[in-house]
Amino acid sequence: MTLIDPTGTRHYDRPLCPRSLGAEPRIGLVDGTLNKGSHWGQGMLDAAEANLRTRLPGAVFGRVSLNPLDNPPPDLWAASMATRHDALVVVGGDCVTCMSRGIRDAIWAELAGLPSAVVCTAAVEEIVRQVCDTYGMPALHVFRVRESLFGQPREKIAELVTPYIGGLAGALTD
Amino acid sequence: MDATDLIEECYRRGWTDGLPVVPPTPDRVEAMLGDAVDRRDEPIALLAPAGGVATREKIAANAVMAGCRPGYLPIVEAAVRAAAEPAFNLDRVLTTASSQSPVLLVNGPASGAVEASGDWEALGSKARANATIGRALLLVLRNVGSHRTGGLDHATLGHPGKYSYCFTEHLALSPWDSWHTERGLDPDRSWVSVFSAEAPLTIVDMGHDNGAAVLRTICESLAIPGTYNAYFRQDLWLVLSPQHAGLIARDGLSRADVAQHVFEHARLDPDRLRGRGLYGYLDELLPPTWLDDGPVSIVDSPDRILVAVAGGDFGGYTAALFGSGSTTTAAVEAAARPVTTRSAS
Repeated sequence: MTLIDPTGTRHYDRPLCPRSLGAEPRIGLVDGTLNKGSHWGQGMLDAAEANLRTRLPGAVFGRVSLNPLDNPPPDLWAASMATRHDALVVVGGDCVTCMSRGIRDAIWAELAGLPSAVVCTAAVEEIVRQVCDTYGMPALHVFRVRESLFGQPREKIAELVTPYIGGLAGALTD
Repeated sequence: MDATDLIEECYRRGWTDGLPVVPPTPDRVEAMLGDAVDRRDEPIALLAPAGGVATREKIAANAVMAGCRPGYLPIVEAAVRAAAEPAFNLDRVLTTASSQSPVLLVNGPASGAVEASGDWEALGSKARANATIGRALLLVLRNVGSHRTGGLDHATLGHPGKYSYCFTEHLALSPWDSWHTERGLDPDRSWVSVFSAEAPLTIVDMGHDNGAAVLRTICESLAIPGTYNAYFRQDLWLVLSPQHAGLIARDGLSRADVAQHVFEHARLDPDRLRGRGLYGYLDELLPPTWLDDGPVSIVDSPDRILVAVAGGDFGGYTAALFGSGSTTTAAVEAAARPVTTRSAS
């Protein structure tokens, strides 16, 4: 017996954009966390910035804070980022809401030609994988921090994150 | 395959919400499409988060699975279009950890045509139209927008409205015109409104015979710190029972007066917000001075409040449907008439 398929899932595999950052790339560091008060986002970005300063000495950094509950059209958001940045690092905490938005933003940034990477915690690893699949970019660079960041101060968060993002510069350049 | 096998096959393919579905066989889907069968591939909406294309046939197949009768399809289509409106913020609704579900209010002739109920059990389990139209929308979101349990939907707790959450007003017992008419919309046309809401909070007041007392109970019950409304101050739906609405109207208040009254009186003292709920969690997302001017209303404007009248003719109850901070009400016009139906074999 034939059944009419009620699903609308599209199966596609979008490639990452070409990596061709110049000597002084403008790197946007995006705090996509909802819980700004936890300083998770800024702590994770501190670690990312320290890593990239070492490996991309000419890079210029700019921080972006967004409310993950907002829902701007992702193509327009990515186009806006592309006017100010050459690459993006997007971070989120143990939060499904902010990670789904963060992954979506990173994928649309890739589609706009901005090499992008995401840093998240292992607590949301499954949702991250599913969102990557849903938006058709399973190869998106995602760095998973396998430490609990709960209740930690900003400096400690950066310290805990650092061992898990060693390949961050390579993700944006190779 | 017999009927049971087909139901199990739908489970196996991951198409259900946990309850059995009516298998979407070609004849049933064509019957659902009715005279729109030749326009089955017409895209009705693009649904986040997966960007799935909700064609009329996809919507019809999910409506079949939900148990809809063919005449319900225009309302389901309108519900899908409403959910795709930017105001509804479907992408966040379907991926948030908070426990919310799209709730539908159907107004106008279409609600009568499909025998949607605003009577007893208006928000519960009674009328086929309420149960299946609400379920059909949720199945469309699940199957077309990749809103699958264990998939992108990661609500920490969820709530029972994720099976179905749909009602209409009980106009015969309402002291006011229908919500859409009072909003200046054509009373002869049908509207479907969608909002993503928490499970209903039932507010009971049966000890008073005047609207002022009832409103006091309602406002004090709404002003609690553990809601998204307390911090984001966005939309709120209030479903008044005919008894509550009647008492309030007898005091000379209109539906708009109720919204204004709730805006003015459902307020939290800053000391009841500091150190509670989402306070601290959202500090950089909220205006820095939001607690400087005294008690804070749970909505930032009376226009945020949708007041509906539904339920049986006895009982002093009001249901509060709190929002989630990321979604507002979206309303779209439904087709002027139900499609002509065909019989399924």
